[in-house]
Amino acid sequence: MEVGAMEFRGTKSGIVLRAHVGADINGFVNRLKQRLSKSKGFFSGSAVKAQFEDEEISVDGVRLIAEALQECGLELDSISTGAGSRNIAGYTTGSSLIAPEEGQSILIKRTLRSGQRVDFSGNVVVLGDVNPGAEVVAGGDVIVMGSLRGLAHAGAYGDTSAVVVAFRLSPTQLRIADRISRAPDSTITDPGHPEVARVSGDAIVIEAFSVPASSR
Amino acid sequence: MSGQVIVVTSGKGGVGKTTVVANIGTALALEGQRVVLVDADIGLRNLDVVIGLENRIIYDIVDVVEGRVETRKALIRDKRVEGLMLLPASQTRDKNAVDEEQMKSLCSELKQEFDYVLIDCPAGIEQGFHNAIAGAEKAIIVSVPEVSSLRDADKVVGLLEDAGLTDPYLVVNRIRMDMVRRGDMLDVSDMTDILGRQVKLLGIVPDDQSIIVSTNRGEPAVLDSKSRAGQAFRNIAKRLLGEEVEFMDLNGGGFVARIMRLVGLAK
Repeated sequence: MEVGAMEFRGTKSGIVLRAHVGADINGFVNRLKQRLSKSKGFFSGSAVKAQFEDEEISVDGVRLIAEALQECGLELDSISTGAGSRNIAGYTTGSSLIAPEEGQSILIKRTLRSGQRVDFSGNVVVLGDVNPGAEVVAGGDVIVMGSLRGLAHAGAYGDTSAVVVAFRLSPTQLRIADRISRAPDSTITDPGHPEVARVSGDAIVIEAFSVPASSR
Repeated sequence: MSGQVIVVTSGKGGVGKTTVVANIGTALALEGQRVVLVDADIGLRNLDVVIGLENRIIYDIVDVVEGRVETRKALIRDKRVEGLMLLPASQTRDKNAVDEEQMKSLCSELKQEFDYVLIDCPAGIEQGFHNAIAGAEKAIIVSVPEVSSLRDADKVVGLLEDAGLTDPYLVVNRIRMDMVRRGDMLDVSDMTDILGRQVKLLGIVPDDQSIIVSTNRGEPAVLDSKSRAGQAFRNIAKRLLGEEVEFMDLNGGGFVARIMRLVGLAK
């Protein structure tokens, strides 16, 4: 499929969008909006499964595409990328990944330094610290087995049940779905144990982390 | 028998890169090494001033990379210390006047003639930074014990890793132990915590008024036996040469103060 092309197909379970986004995400989204506005109402209320021929699309890109679809009453249900590619994490600045299915996790086995960013649609586990100035953006949960001193954004696609867990939770800023939170201006004493941040209503609350009871 | 190319960088400006280059370079030369200092801060050159050779500049690094003059002719011999040379930057051009390939070949050329090639990196992470690290084999990160400097240093360590310069050295500059004891200033361990174990502590230099004097006079502090910063730089040079030198006891105040600290009567 050529770069920038998109194709909609109706199926019993909803709409399938096949596309090749290419490097110019904004250009693609604009053309997508134009295409959708021409047939507004026809598609409305359907769920969309997107199949991208690109090897990788950034979380921000997917968000733009999901918003464009939402404007015409379409819900982006699932995404797949690459011709049979599985998740490979790229964590230097400028490189970003998307998993074929939600719920996948990647493991970063080192400390993230200032200016480095991880961008992944599933869960992200960091075996190291996240230094101030570093960013972790995940569609799922963010787990830091070290000190979280930078920025973490869990549930980046809007999942308010996502959590951020760290051995030492002292981020510059915390985001879950569309909630944003920061530490109070007065200095807080380091509790010295792992903590978990989750959404509670409009806010983000932080509690001591305890092993969840097994559900039977 | 080629020498080692070391870049001295920081990210943050004003933390002491030029002072570190001038002093470590002079100290290495005093230990008998053949050293060339390269000022890569094109457009804002300072190394020549700090080392007192500014009125001897005829040619500079841009003249060399643009082929107007042989490298040898642009090098300036230090007026006091044998074995120490300077390749000054240009003051009238800017960072785009040289590129990474030119820096790489300049460094390969220089390491044939010298034991140590020390490159004074400009502040920032743009073209000037990339030029300065292009030909380097090792890096020294300079940071003051302040969060802003530490943030930038962490970023630079990441950039150096991306460029293949792993295991950089760290020089902590301008530390004030009285402030550290009061909890008003970061401790060295706070800094190595953030920067990680791959960064090896090379030296801790105390904040010292003698640096201001020596910079203005163009006489590196290592030449002043009474300067404590100078002593720290001399130790750093020795450590680079492989000697095991203990870190200076920077908790001042003399004998009585030390006893009081020992028995817990003072901090």
